[in-house]
Amino acid sequence: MSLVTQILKAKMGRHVSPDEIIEPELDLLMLTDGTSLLASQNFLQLGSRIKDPGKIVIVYDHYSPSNKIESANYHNLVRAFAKEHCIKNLYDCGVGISHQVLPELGYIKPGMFIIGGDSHSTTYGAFGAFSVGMGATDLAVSMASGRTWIRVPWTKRVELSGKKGPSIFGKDVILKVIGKIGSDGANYESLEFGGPAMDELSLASKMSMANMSVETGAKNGIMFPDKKVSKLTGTKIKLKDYDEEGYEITLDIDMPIEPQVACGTAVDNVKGISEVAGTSVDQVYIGSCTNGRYEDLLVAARIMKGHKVRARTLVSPASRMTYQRALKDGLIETLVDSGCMILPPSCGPCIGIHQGVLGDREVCFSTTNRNFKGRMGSLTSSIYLGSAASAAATAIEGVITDPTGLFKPITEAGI
Amino acid sequence: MKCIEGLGMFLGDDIDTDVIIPGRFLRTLDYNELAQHVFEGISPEASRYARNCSIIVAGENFGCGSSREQAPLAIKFAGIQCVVARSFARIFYRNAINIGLLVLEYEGDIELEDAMDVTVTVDPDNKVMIIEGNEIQLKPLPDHAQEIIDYGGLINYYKKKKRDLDPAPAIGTESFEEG
Repeated sequence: MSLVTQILKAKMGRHVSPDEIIEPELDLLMLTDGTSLLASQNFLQLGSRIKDPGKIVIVYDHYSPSNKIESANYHNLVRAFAKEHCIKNLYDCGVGISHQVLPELGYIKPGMFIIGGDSHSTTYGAFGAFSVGMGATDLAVSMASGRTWIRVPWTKRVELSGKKGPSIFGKDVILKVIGKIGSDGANYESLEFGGPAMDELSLASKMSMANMSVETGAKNGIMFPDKKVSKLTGTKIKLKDYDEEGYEITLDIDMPIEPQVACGTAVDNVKGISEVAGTSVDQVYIGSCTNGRYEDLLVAARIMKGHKVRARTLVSPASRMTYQRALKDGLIETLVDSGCMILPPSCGPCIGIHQGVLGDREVCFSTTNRNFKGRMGSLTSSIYLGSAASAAATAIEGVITDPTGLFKPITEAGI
Repeated sequence: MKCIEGLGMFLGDDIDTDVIIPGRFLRTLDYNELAQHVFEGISPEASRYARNCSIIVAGENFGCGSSREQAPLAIKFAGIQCVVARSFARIFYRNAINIGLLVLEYEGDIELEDAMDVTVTVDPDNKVMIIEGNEIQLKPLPDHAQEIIDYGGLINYYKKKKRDLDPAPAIGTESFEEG
């Protein structure tokens, strides 16, 4: 039985079938400063009370700190709303990006049903949770009802096998998958990752994969929670691993040998790094909910140590905890010595709102998750997406560069 | 539902939420202001053209990307009454229905990407779209979605029909439980 079917069966207390519409109770509802604005306004129209304020978490990450007067005012509006409605779990500017903060603080447990006011809420699937992105009106109604309606998804199983290349991270794996199945290749489905090669991937890498599952049109991304997850979350795993029953389709995908890069304005326009190596870049960004973790900062520091960057390079740890850990271990010092600008833990340049907005015809190599036209600034700017290793190698050369051979391999570094 | 007739805006595949409403315009509660920037991610000219249109006709995977509800809101408040596409990305589709923006799927090919000054008619009850004399079949909305649209969106649906939410306590009569 697929992981999502198991989770929903447990929630409903009965068997569920794909395409069936059900209305399960939520375990967690996440809002960012972006989505909480409209969601809170919509909620007030309902004239209802919040069903369970303890199950709601708000994280200020998109406009953190505020980029203009309106953002600051809206931040205050939502702070007042949270106080009035007894939502205690509000993590204000500086704590970090929602999808990093929630796992760090122990909110995410295997088997949970989570909805989040951000499309990359799929990240929590790395911990064996069924986590789905939703919009402001759905969130408002769910705050009042404690439930949401959902169509049980079919599951597309991705079986990863083969030996990964020495400089491959989860980002490269998910880019390869997106390139193979396309930006609507898993529309409305649950994308479940597994296979013998999964053991070679760190938990941080798995978070990148679950994070970008949404770029295939999937409802969610999910992986079987292994011993690492069990230990990290302090839970006994009740879910059963893959048994080949109840999957609509299984895709066999070989692990990539060389790092992957998404090009142009489509996330599914994926090429091996050798095809785009040598492309000049103006800016490099290492950060975001996709790749702002300790592992990403560690590989960046290993590659950049003793070198100076040749492109404008921005680095943003995904959370204050990550920032503190990187500070203690000397990574931030190495990155600053190389000429990087360190940004606060937030979504920063990813959405083109502040801190590193791109000008006309500028080229950015970024560890973020979308390269849509104009996403990070000017409509004539362009974005290449890749791993933190690829980004760091690119930063020190000033052109897109394969990081293979430039760093000592990393074993599990935690989230 | 009444027939919708007006200028069509013809778009291709994978029209994403950044193109529908770029991130830097999201920070407003004034949906009319938001609508001024609809499709500005294509170009300012596309935005101006869109604001004169009544119907969008698009290819596959319309609305892919972010969960921003401002995407269908910008479209709706720009005066566009209906989006017809070969397929929709899931969050956009759900958001559109929730705010009462009619979204319908069609089958087959319409080779009119970027066409201008073409009038389109959408007949939601008879599930048909007419472009330059050609009739294209539209798929019916799932019953659940149609009901929400009929009520003008999910908030109205809950206020007028479902009514099973706990009411907010009257001000001053009791204090909220600590969460």
